[in-house]
Amino acid sequence: MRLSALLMATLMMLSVSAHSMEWTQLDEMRQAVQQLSYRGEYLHRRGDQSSAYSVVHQFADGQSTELLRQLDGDMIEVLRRGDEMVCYLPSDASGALNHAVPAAPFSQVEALDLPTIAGNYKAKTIGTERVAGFAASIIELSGDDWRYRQRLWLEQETKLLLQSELIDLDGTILEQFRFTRLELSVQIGQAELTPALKGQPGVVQQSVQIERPVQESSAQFKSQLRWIPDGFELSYGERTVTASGWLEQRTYTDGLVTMSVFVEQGKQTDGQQSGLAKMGATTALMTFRDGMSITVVGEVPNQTAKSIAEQISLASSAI
Amino acid sequence: MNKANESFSAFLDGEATELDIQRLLNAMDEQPQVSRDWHKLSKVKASLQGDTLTDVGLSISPAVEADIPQKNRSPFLKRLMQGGIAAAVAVVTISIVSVQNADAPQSSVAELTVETPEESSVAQMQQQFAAQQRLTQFLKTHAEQASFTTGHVVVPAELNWVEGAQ
Repeated sequence: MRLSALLMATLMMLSVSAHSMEWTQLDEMRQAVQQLSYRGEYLHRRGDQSSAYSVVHQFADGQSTELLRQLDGDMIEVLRRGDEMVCYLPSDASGALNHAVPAAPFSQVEALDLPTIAGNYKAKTIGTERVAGFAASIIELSGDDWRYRQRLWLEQETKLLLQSELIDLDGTILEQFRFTRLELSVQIGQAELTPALKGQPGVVQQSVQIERPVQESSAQFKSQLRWIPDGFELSYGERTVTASGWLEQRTYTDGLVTMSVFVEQGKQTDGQQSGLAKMGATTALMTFRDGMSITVVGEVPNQTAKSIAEQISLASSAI
Repeated sequence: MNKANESFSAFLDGEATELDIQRLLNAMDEQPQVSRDWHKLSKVKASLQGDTLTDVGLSISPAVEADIPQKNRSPFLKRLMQGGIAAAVAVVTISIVSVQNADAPQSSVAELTVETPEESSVAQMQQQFAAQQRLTQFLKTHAEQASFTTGHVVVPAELNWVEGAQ
């Protein structure tokens, strides 16, 4: 009896340490994408749309500088230095609406909340594969049916993320990021980090300072959310009041994915139809009820967004 | 008003900026009549382009929509189908299905829920339009928040951009 208890304890410790190895690798991965110097090209696929980008990333004096360039469609460049971003685009770029540029996953994450992630996902190394000329270990993170599965391909020595996938419950790949060519541990010259469009006639230059969210309260909210899948914690809350009504925004995260809930009052809601839109792994649900317009946006399955939208109500004090 | 008409023209061509959209919304608020004129204008424009689907009075049923080959879709229809969602993120396979059918297998072609009321009114069109614009804004806000916590980052190129020096 005592022996079996001991055996159990040993087995448990083994399994915890096996897991902690994967968790350690995740943190090394986040640091690698930000703190290594590399150049390469990657593909980003969302649903059945894909686009190719080149990236030059330098880490020097404690700061990363990165130049991203869209390789197909319009020539667009994004220069990121720390939390500052400058975007260069030709003034005739068709449809100013399509200018988002996907950067490498985890490249803007300050620290991963590993205990939270470990509480919501199981991590398992499921094999090795070669990606962009490098050997990679594949880590799979899977949680309950309220969230998608993720697979991460980490370069074996540096732990740089070579490929990542968001996979739905049926096994369909909804979103994929993948290096197709990569040079690691290289010297990056200043010229490589200079946007080709900079100073060109007719080029529009826009810049923004990224501000990290600080507000984490929904205490003053008129709407209430009665249920949310286990493991999602509020990471941001904001209430704005305008002449036409109020808008309450909540953002939740389970450590890996994010979900935002917007509740508005004061908009006309009669005769409005609910709608669900899907872009890769992002689900957007808009529905109207009790004089409220409720929108749930997140990298979660449709059912998760629907269930959350159903659980929004006005706080009794607000009625 | 001329400015608003220009914005509408840009909208039809799928080239409307956020400023254009704002201008359109304002114009519709001030003069509800204007959306009827635009409706007519878009019909004329679409027929000039040889589109089979010319009535954009939000009377696009999913069935009809599925019959329109991708290449024949007018920029206006594409814009409607994208619902401004493209704005938020690089995007896009968009399938918009009604909530009731959300569990049904999603077809490869986008389905549209702008289902339509027999007596589809200008006010409804306006509402739908405004709802799309709000959704776009929400998607941007979400993408911004998500970039700090989540793996799959999209550098939001249109997010609170401050116009820089040329």
